[in-house]
Amino acid sequence: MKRTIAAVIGGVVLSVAAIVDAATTKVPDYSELWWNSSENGWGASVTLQDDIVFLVLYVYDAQRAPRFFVAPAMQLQSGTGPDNVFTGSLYRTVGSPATAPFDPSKYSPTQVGNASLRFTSPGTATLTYTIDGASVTKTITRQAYRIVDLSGSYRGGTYVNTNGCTAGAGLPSIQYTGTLGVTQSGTDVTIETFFDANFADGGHCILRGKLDQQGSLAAVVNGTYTCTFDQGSVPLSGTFEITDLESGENGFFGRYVGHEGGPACTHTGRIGGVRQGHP
Amino acid sequence: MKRLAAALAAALSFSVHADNTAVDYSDLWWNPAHGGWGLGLDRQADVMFATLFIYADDGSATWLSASAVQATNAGQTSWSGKLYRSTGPGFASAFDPSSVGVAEVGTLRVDFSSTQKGTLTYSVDGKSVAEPIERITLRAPSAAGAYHGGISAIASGCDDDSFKGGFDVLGPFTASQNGSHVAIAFATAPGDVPSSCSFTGDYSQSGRLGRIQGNWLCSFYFALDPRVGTFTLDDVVVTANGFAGRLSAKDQDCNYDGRVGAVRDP
Repeated sequence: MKRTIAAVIGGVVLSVAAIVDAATTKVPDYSELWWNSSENGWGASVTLQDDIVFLVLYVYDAQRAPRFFVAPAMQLQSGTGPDNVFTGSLYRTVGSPATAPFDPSKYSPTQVGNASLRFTSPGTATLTYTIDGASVTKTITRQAYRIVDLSGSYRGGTYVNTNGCTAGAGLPSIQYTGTLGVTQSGTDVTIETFFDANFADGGHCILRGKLDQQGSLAAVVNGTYTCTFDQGSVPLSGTFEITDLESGENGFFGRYVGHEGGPACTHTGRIGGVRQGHP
Repeated sequence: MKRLAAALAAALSFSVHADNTAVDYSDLWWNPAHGGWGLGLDRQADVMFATLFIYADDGSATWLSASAVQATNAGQTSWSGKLYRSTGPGFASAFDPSSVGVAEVGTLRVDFSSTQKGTLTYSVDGKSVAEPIERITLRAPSAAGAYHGGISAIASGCDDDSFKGGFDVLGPFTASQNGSHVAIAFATAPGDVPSSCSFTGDYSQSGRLGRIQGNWLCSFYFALDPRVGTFTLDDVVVTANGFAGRLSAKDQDCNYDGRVGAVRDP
């Protein structure tokens, strides 16, 4: 089913469609205000919905006046290696003055060039654009002005595939369904997971790490964990990192990489859960 | 504290803030009846950074920003902050942040009537503007996939007191999608107290948030008969890592409030 959006920014007629049965979401949510922290004063607003980015550039013209440019339909490109790359046409628009009665006839878009966003991680990218023949390339990161507080009680778990592991419960995949209690003091995060009796006869893990805020996303780095089991299995311990960590009113989710006992045994998957829905 | 325009002298600090449980208004907003301009909102905890891209008196594209928009009521439905105009080095020249200038031009206020709609009011150089706004929708993501998760909710208003209270049903979780029709099924894992649920409904998208409305059927460990009714899953966010939404549901004689969500399988 398709619902064509005839215009996204006024008359910038786009071949954008709200495709309900779009491909399963596979890229991190890059939606954010991005900037170059060494060039404080301009920015790039990225709005990602499924595989399309709406970019607004907040820059200045040669007369130092603030000007915006839009790339309303940047498409996710294939065959770009480990990076996620979006490209699209960039427009200058003129329109109805904000403080006057709205007149749609005053709207007119002009393509001035192209824009490209190459995301090298969930929190870093290279922005390249051309305007009237002038080419600009900037490294950008997410703007962060608050450290998220993950504290709370959740229902979910840790779900990973293992590689290079010769011991441990549940190989080659591990599924710790149960509860997650998260406490936080500054950037010190502790996640205590209790898992159900149907996995390794029950038990719990304690994960401790440092929160690294990246705009609305976060990471938990320099993590260590220990797991103990209710029925006598020897405790397990290792290191971990959570990246692409999203959190909000309904839960938190992130990518999880752990090493149990040493670097040879790797756990790769996801961790998170829905926020507890009852007292 | 670093932000888009450092000289925007807002009283922000890079601090931990407790409120991570409220509605996230981060999105690109517009008035579809007055296309051509837009409002970007980026919320991080108790602060929103607003960027307003509009047209000047001569029709040229310009932008204003409000770097410290904060809630003015306990329900966090009304937000306001000072609005600034910046000037700076041309995009094609070397960027010297010390030459960025900032001038306060007015105020910006957003009153949200729902998670998806609101009213933007701002003043610039003594002139006031008010516009109804809603989130821009470009694409609806597909929720289809294999997950682990379920429901965490509280039952109330039940004829049978034994049904009342909080409960969780967690286990393997699948979602399928055909057009706007979504079907979700999950059940406790083998070995757990047996419970299972299926939710089927229609998905609609508003900006980055979704909504599913439909019918549900659950066999709960605490009930002899299947529970059947209607549900709404609001503020649904589907990402590469998971899926979560706020649940409001009814069955034969109970009301349910809580959350449905899951972690995407590795």
